[in-house]
Amino acid sequence: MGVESQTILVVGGGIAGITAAVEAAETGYEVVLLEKEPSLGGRVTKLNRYFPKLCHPTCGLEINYQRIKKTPRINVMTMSTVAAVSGEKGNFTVSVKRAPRFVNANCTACGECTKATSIEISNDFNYGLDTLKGAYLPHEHAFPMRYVIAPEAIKADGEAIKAACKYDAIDLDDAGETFDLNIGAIIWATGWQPYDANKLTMYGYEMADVINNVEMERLASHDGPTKGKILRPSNGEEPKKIALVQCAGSRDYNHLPYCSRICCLGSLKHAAYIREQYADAEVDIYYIDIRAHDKLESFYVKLKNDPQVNFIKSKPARIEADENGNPVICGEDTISRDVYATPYDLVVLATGMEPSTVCGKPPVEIEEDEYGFLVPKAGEVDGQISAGVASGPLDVSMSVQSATAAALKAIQAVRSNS
Amino acid sequence: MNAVSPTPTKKYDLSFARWVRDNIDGGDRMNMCMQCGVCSGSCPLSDQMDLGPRKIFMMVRAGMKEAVLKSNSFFQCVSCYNCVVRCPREVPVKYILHGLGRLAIQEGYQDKKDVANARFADAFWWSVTTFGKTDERLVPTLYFFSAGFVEGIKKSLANLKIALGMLKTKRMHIGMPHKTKNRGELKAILEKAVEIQARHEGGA
Amino acid sequence: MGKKFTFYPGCSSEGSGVHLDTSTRAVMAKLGFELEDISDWNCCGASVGDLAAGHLPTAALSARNLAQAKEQGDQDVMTACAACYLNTHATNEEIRDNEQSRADLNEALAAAGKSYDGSLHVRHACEVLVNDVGMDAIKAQVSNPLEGLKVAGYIGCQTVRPFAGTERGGDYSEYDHPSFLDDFIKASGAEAVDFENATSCCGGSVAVMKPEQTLHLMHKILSEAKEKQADVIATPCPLCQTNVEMYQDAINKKYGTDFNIPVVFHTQLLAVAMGLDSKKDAALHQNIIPADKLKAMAK
Repeated sequence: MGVESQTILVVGGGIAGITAAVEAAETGYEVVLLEKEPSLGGRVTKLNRYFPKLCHPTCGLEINYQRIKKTPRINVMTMSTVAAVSGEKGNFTVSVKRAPRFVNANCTACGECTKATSIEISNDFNYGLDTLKGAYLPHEHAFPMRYVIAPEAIKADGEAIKAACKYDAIDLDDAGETFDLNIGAIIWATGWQPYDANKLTMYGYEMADVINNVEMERLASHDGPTKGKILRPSNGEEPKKIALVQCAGSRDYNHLPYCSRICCLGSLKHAAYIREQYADAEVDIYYIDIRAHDKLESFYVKLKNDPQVNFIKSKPARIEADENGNPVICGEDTISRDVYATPYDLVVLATGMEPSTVCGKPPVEIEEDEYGFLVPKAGEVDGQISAGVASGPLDVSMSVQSATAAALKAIQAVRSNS
Repeated sequence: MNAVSPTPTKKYDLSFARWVRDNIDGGDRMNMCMQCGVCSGSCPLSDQMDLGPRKIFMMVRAGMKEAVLKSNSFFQCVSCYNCVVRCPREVPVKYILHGLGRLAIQEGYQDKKDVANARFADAFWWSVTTFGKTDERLVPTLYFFSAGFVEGIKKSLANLKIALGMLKTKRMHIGMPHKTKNRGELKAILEKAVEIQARHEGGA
Repeated sequence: MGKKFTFYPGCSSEGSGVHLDTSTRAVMAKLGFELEDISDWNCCGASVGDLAAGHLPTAALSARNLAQAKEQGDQDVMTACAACYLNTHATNEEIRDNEQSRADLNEALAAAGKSYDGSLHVRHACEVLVNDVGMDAIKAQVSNPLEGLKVAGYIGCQTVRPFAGTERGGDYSEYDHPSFLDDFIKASGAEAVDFENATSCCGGSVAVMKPEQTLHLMHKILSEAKEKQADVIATPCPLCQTNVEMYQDAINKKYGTDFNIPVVFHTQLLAVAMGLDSKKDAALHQNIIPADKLKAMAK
């Protein structure tokens, strides 16, 4: 074995990647934390609240960001992805590709650049539910707190944007870069994406008032497209009758054969959001089984005692549009054996989690399970470990546990080299 | 009646689910059912079924053989396959339903004279075994009269206009039925198939 | 092209669905395909065979057809009828993949000195049009585009659903919003209305046995076609064509409607659009409710 590195690379800057990075760095190891988006935080930063305590995720993230700032051993690289991996444990050569941000560290997040462009782009942070200007802060809790300029805004208004910046933070010539890192162990914390509801052809996702669960989080968030007010996307009105449809894709051999684990609690939380905002609203939860395990059951019991939250044991067969375009859920109530067709103002599909790697495999050989989750069995032996939802469907607290364990395995991997 | 499943007279039969698993086409996947209701919810005639597929599967598991085999649900199936393609557990619902329907008739839980489908199927099978083909004139006629002479006349009259339309557009012909040429060969194959099937069912 | 298929016409080809048979043969010939019929075919068992006789005798019907097809060569077997395709395709897969069924059905076939190993491919004519021909090649043959004709594309159930997940069935469309029928309609130069009920069930053989229980299903289909101002409904399924056409009187009586909507096969549309003969090739004279507007467009 040639040159040996004890640096740990963490791929993915969501809650699992951040956790693995700070745990390893605080133990004394050098860590590079790679994130493809312009800000850390991943899926968690797009949530309104956590279940079951309904606290805000910004709180936990902020503590972690402080830990990163206090630990000089963590090198955070945003807008960066792994282009190639070669070598072996203790001596990987990882080629990193950084996409252009066009904004350097001088940025104070003053926002003058935003005013200098007229280009509007889809707001990925809000899952495309609204648009934003082509010179933007990813979101109000971004880390690093630094603006991004979209390539199309650079093309259209580059000079004007540069002129508007008082801090010389705009780099029009930023072309991105590719460089190599010498790495001892790799933690893949590449996370998840919501299962594409368009594939659930019987559930009418093309209807405006049929949304998925991650979009619901954005609707309920104060920095979301509706400023935190849950409104019908079709007409902006307050919904009075809302359906939450469980297992939209999960536990289904035609889609995701496994249980995604978070959706039951996610929907119970959505019922709580709705009941908090609208005293009169009625919420129907369609489910096969409610999987609220261990300590989470009390949250379920609380919602179950709410007379305006109805639990209907039925996997809906289809969602149709009525003559006014409102979604109508059709199926069989398996308790009463009634065949129903019930109209709603808003339907939320509890789409499951699939590993993000289904849309782009890591450029390295790594074991996967039958569903595409990364499960490198000989983690500390071959220096590749998976953490968080990259390794299987987990909620936030389980992701954090998984990431802490991954940090320990990575440390064992690089220590055995020394 | 030809008793093919083990205990045709008991109300409850706890071995029924096992028998269905081993003998009904598709029955080996019935244990995958998680009672989600998608099959009964997808079915276009679910509201005309007394039980619907999901409940039938639950009752088969509970050993409620008699109650299951007295269900009307098998005979409302339009073979649209919605249940088959939507089932999240890949249970071939339609196939199991048709198998149970045949069992209900075979074991005498339901009388053929009360089950239109069974009478229609008999007329159909008569045509297939006699001519090798479906005769679209004789099968409905035989079926119409299978419920009795008066009913037959009534149904025939109700369909007279349709039949005349078919004749006029040459979609129904006058004369002998169309036939498969080598009917002896077909007969030999079908008789053998019936024999093999009886062998399997008897050995269950 | 010039590809050859062994063709399985099925019982409806000699009766209620003769116009599907005629127009399919005409369109396939125009596209350069050679169809050789299974020489002495029998019924496929439709959807009621298993109720009358059980699974194995029903599958034996298709096994005999397939054994004959194999004797006629290794070329793919094609059929235009949804039920024929369903049974023939399913039996073919069963013989190929299920050891017990292969043994049982070969034992039955042996009673007539026949055998079959499941090595053929069974294809639906629509799927051949999509995968082997393609819309561009279809359009290239359209010399008489059906401009101004509004068509409701009604696929029904058995043409797509049973085999959406199977080897070839899944290739050309998915089962909830399949696009191939609208593609055919557009290729013919006609306008495809947005038809929500494209894959709703007409009642199938239950409509034949117990129409009173299924008229509401066909009422829904016809109501949408009327609301969308379709001049004709086009379908690839012989049972759908017959049901939706012949029960309009009964539906009008039950619901007080005045439906009189022609129901044609997609191949009848294509035959007219390809400039073929309206009678000899498109068999338009065999629709009980005459498709006058389509007929007037024929060359």
